Amino acid sequence: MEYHLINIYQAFTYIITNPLNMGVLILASFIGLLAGATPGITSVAITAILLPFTIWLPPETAIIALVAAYASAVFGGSVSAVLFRIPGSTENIMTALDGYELTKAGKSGLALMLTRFYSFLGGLIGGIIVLFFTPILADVAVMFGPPEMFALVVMAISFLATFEGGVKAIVSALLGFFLATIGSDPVTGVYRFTFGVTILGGGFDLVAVLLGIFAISEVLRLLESELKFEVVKERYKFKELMFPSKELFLKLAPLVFLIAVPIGWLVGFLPGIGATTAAVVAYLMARRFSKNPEKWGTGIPEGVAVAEAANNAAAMGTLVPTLALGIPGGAATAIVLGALMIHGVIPGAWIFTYRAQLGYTVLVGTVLSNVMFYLLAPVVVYIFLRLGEFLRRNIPFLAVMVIFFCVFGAYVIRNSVVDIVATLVIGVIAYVLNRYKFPTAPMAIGFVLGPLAEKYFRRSLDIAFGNPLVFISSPIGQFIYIATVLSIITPTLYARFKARKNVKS
Amino acid sequence: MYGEMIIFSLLIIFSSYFLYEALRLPKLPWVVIGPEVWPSILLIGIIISCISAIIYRYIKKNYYRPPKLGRSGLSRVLTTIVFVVVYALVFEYVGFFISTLVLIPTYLKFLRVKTLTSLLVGFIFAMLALLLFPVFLLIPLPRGYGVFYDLTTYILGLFGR
Repeated sequence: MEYHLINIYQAFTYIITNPLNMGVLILASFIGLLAGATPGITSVAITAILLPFTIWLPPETAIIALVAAYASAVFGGSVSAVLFRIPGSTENIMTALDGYELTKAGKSGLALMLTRFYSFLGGLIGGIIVLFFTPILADVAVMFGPPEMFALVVMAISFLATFEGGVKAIVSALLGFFLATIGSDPVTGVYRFTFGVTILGGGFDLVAVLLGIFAISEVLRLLESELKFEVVKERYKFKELMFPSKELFLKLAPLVFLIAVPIGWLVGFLPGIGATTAAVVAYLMARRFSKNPEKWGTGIPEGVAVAEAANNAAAMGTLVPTLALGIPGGAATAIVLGALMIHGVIPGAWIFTYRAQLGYTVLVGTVLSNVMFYLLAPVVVYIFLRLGEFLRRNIPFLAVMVIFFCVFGAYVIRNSVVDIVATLVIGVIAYVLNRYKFPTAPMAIGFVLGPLAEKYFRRSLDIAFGNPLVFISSPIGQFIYIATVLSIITPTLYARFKARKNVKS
Repeated sequence: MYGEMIIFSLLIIFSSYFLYEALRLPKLPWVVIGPEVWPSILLIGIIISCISAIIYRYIKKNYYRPPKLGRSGLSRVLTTIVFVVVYALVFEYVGFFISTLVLIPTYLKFLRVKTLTSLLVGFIFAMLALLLFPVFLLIPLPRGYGVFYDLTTYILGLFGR
């Protein structure tokens, strides 16, 4: 422990006393914030864009720049998710649900304060756990094989049942799962449902699908009605935009500290899962254990706080397998891994012993990047808040802006018009389904979880030569399945028990 | 009354067709679970859910009616869809700059925005696309063909790209 603390202290002083490190940290955080808040530029995209610029930097500084840009972009993405229902980064998919509803209710300032505060909190706690436990937890991460991963995905899918809409929610989720099967089969490479369109071999991109489900469908809905809205100018005291009130903080604390951050972080640190899935799983779990799950998605602070705390904690968690095992936790951390290799650093547990300065500087840098975006965020938030207010008063401009970013955001994924068309088609389908009260959030969640479910389901059976007992053969898998069953039946039994007690009394 | 039923019916037809396509996928003897199994499970799930929803609604006479879409609202929705389709079609042939410069004002004009404002907004978005993607972020965008290519290349040249 002493060795740990000494290294952390040395890394901390190395960063804050070195003007280059601090300058890069501030600049990368600001770029990440702006990019994340700009619809169409995802956290992965900005990390990839910054990679060539970091080659001439020392390895520690280069990794700090990438991690700071990534962490800031994950927060920045929530700004456009809240104001325009466009998740700026895929990690903000769940933030768009309640955040945008709060904006519609004239509470965008509250929503943005929550995203900022809980992103910071989630990222900071996640970063501190990474700082102290990375070398230890790396061993735990490798204990999760395909059957255990599948159990985890099953658990997340079971939480979809909490969505309102009954059979409509089930159909919506199944559609999302099905959309994810289009393209190359993950196990055999056989092309499925591509109809000769080569680029569809890679399947629909998550960004294109999210833009369609959330942004295009919302623009079409807005254009249905009159083009002029009465928008109440929001007025907030400075303190209200900085921190939640004591009552609100205490109200949200159990969900944030007991579910969102730990679950987001734990799922994030599993190799190959990524922060987006981790945020989805944490959100669904928090919703399941909330006292009023039916209100989630209608614009409640819990939804925003949980989603943001979870995705930033998960973003930090993805660094564990990346640094300690050399297995990227997600797409952005794969770029970080690439940067390490460009600088001649081979990741592994030894990074914290033989190259302790590098390892610990990166870890301390991740924690500091959270502090940095928290300090820089008010500037970006203020600009986008005013822009959002102006656009909501002028729906044609809002429509043009959303369509512009959907077209360019979809195109730059693979430089293909097919992605623009896919975004539009999925958007129109989501719009029609929305009109008939099909919830579309399960479709987006299904699309995120679908590929993982199929991949781990099939890999598990392949490993066990088709024996289905493989799913319950390991203690971790058994534990997850038991927890899933308990989480399904406990709230129902509790509700029945309470109802019976009320009848008796 | 019929809208919901039409959606469920369309989903059944759509899923049945894709199920047929899934079952035609090559059967590979060396894998335990073939590429057709997972999509088939999902599609059968959609078909069963939709059939049960239709039967339930038919028996209970419980249909959801969405708020009626006015004529102007419908025309705005359809125009937006056409606008995105045209944008996607001309994007690579005309180039990102010219297509944005021309199509956005046209679309705004349809939404009854003043001509001068429409032109100004079109110019702002064309410049935003130019500065944000190829200039600052170094993301290549299509420049179009022929004269459009020359024009876009000239404009990009003014910004050193």
